[in-house]
Amino acid sequence: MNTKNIVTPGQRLGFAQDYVAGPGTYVRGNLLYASVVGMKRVSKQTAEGETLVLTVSREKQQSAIPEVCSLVSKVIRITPKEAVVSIMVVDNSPCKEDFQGIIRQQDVRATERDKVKIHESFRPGDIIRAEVISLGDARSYYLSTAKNELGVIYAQSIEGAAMIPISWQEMQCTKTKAIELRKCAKPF
Amino acid sequence: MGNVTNENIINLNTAITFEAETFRRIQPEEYLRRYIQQHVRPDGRSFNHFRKTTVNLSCITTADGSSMVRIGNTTVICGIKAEVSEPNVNFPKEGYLVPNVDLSPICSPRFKPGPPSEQAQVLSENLNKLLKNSKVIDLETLCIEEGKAAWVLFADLVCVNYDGNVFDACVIALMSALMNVRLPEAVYEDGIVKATEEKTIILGLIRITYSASFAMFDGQHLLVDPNEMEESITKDGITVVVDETGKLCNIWKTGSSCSSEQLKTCISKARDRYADITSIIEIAKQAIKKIE
Amino acid sequence: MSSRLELIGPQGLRTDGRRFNELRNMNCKPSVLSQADGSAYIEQGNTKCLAAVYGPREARTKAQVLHNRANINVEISLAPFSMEERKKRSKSDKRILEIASAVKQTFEPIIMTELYARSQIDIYLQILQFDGGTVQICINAATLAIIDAGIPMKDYVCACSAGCIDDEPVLDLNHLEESNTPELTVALLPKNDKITLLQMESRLHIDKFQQVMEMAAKGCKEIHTVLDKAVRENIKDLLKKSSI
Repeated sequence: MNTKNIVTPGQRLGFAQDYVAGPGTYVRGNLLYASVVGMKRVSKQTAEGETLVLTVSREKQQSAIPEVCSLVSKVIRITPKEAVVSIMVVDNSPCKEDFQGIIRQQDVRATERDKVKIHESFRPGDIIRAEVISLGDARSYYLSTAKNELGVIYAQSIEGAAMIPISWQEMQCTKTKAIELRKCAKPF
Repeated sequence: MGNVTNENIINLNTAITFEAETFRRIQPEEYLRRYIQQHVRPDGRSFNHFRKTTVNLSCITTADGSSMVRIGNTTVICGIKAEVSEPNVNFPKEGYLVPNVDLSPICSPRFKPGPPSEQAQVLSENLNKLLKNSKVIDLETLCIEEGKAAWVLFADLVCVNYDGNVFDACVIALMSALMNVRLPEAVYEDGIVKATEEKTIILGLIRITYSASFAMFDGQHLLVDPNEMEESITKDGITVVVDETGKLCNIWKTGSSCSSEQLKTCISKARDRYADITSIIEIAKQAIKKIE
Repeated sequence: MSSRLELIGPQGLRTDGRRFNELRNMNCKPSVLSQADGSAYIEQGNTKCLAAVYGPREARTKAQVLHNRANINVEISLAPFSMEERKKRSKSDKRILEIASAVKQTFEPIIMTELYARSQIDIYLQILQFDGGTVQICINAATLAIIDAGIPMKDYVCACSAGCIDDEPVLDLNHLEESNTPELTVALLPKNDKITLLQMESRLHIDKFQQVMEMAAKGCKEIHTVLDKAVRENIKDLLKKSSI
């Protein structure tokens, strides 16, 4: 553990023309400075342009923020036009606090987008995998489940038992064998 | 929601697996249940294990008595300030002891800024009841002049890190700060109270009480000293307060039902915990003596 | 009848035994709270402050959301037992709000908020014991806590106060001194000596101003050394723990 490589914010790292600024650094004038505490790492590329990458080595991971990638969220409430969800996990790293997202009627699936009924696709309490399509309005992120691998991954039936997907539209309760309508994700 | 039985757990979408942290976020109850089935808790403790408790006395020099208590990560700082005021008309020979708990946004993301939350007010009220009913201090010792002047002890408890079981930490902090209070000698003359510069009077505690809190999971498993995650999942809990003779002072029971056997277990564990806390406070007292 | 306080004694020592250019005893430790994203505890003499940083996280009220940067929110709370006289200071006490606003304005250009649009960074400061120098300890504690949270900053922000007793500039005033002498608080970026905050609320002769300000700036540099050392110690410990 080479402790000489520890840098603190404001510390000069080198000339801006020799490196490409990676995360954790910033450029001012013609110098490159560090902006977080961590180990200085330089990644060498075969082509010209070495990237100076600073990563913060600590157990505490910074809470994830929704970006354009897949995330897991829980449906909170539904209206005929949209489903309101609470984003809990972004790309395998959990968020410390939930973010709010909306899945509009036209973003639930790719085909027959206007004939979608929200209450036949999601119910409150379902866990779904979705994708961010836009940073949305002031209130929430806009999400979409319009791909085969997106949709409900876990749901409980009216009786409270877990349900298994039997097709992309239907899930079956394990206790009562009753069928309920959901937009299911394709199991990997 | 009905009961989720064992067989449903196995029938879950096994095609989709999650990392532990993701699973913990999506299904916190299931996550806890799987640990409980192995007779262990997510932070590695057994059901009966209290987290490491440390006490620091006299940490705030501007207060007349102070202490800082850590149970695991939960940290509470108690500062007691003494002021003079007129006693209550109905109780002219008694002073006051006023506890107040402050759960501010600094201690956890779950608290938003604003007026004291319901939880903080409930904690303050429970501490108040505890002090009154168990007669921890003889309020007559706080009297300076009957009917005219008496000491008011404001006990302010600030939680700076919230990781479950704040009540136990508050009780220990309050008791140890009270043991630590130094008051000046006060004399009432011609309508004015004169106090000496030196603070020499030690408050005498009639009774010292400590508490032990438990969470109940699935109606059967008793988890001692719940941390924040366990507290938020299990809404059921029992808090038992005992004094130095092992007598029961207070019991609070919230949530679903429990058997009398479980209550008896809780009471005996609270008594054992009492002995542990007393020795921890002894260590803290020795530490300040060394400095003095 | 002379009611003048003897702030500087016969040997040139102040009420707490320091010389005119000595900082108070400083003790700081980052990463003290487990729930917060970043935290720090600082003691400067008898003033004790705890800082917690949460963020970046979703903004609480939609009105506070900025479309291109993060919103910084600072809240300062004075514990009721922190002063000699118990005063339950409400959060909307004007003096406290003013200090919070000063801290917020100090950090706004330094934290790289463009990286976190539409989110909020909350800085909570709790003063546990008060013996003067609120603004400076809040800024120093907030700096440590923000670094601990891993939020990118252009540089450390170090603050120090200085004053003038008997026409001599003195460094780092405690409560007794700041109530009786003009006080100047300066917050500095140590790498390039840029001043981000300057506050003075009493009368000071303009001839003395330059000297007092230079003394405060020197004090800031000393504080920077202490803070930097604490941060490096902390990261060394963390690396040791994670490599085991």
